[in-house]
Amino acid sequence: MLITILILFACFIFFLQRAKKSIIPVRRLAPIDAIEEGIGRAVELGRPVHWTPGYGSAEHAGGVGSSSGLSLLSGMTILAYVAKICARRGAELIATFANPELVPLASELIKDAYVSENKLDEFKPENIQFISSRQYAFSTGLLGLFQRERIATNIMTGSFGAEALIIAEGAQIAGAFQVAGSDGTTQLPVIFAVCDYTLIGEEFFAAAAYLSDDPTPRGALRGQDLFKFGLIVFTIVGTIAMILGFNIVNYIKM
Amino acid sequence: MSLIRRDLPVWIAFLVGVIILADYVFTFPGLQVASTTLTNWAVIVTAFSFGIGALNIIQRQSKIIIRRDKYWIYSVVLIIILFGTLGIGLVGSINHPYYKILFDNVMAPLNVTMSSMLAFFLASAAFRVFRAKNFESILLLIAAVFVMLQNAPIGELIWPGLPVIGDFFVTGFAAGGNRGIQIGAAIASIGFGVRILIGQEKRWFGRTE
Repeated sequence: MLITILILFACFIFFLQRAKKSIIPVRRLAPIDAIEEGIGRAVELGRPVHWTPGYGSAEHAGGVGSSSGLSLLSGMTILAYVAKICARRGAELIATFANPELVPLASELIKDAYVSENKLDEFKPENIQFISSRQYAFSTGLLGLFQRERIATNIMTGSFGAEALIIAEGAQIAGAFQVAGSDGTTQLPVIFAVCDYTLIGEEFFAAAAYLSDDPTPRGALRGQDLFKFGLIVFTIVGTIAMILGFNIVNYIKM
Repeated sequence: MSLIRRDLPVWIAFLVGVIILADYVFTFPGLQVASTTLTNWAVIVTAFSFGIGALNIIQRQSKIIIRRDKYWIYSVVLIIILFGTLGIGLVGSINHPYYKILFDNVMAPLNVTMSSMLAFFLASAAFRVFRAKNFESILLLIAAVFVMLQNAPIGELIWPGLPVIGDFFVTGFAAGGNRGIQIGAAIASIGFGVRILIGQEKRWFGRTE
């Protein structure tokens, strides 16, 4: 395990350093481009944009301190982008949470986005809302909010459990344009079916590097692609070795 | 300002991340103590954050009541229930009969109601998705029909081969695709973690310039 982690770290560090010297091209992510389109739609309709990182998957619920923490933080990097575009375009942003520890973090993050666009007077702290730390109370709260505020765009980036379908369907009923992203595979089919654009699996984490003004984090994407390629080669070699009767598993186990 | 806003969070994230990660790999007793202590701190910080959550609700709902916004009466109900439940829990305990009445007769039925609503949301989502609009949606519809007939007893009655085809969709295409996404997401999450550890990813805590 240590060797695997070290190889992975080496790949990342090597490409991060390389990215400082030359720009690494990254393919366009349609869901990220759709966020700006969704915010533009909200401005035209004069209705708010809603963003949520979700409750957390059933097995990982527990906020930033749990194993869904990375998904929540990756979702927060997308919130930083959403807040910046909302501030620039003059759209009202409502951010809702099931994890109260994210509220002060989001508050700072959204305020900073308005400050960087010189629109601090348009920042509404009451739009950063802790709904409930209980899954179904959280989703019920959002259903009510969608109907009251008639949201124009719903952006869901984080870690989701069973509430994903309730939230997405609730937003659909309210007539919202939807963009969602998650790394959990249990709710991906649901959000893929209901939402207009979806960030699937690794795209969700790549979005943070994609949105960065600094090209250096894009090096990490190249690093993880190289590691993935190695993993695919290793899987093929391992499969052939096992078919030929050479039990490679005994050599890997430590 | 730069030290507190930009560098300090990065260094704290780096130190904590390295200690927790090293505890997975090495077995030094000191490291284990440090890792357990940090994990306990995370639990304590999370517990305290519920206070922030309650304050956020009280502030927001109070403003709605003072401004007499639309549906302000619901905010009054929310505040009364919030303080009522808190009061009963503090004066008695979570085993107090009134607290149990509130939980068993209000909270639990509402939870179950919302949980059962999932079936209706699923049906409405399925109705919209399973319309043959383009090539991809036709593929989705075909796969869905086979998987539904695999799970419904009538499938086997129509033709014994139907559940076999449905099972092939689940254990073949779906499981393969699922594992591919899981492996990709796992590697990407490590990459994101490394970027946070070495301070290349700072957008999650706000303005960095």
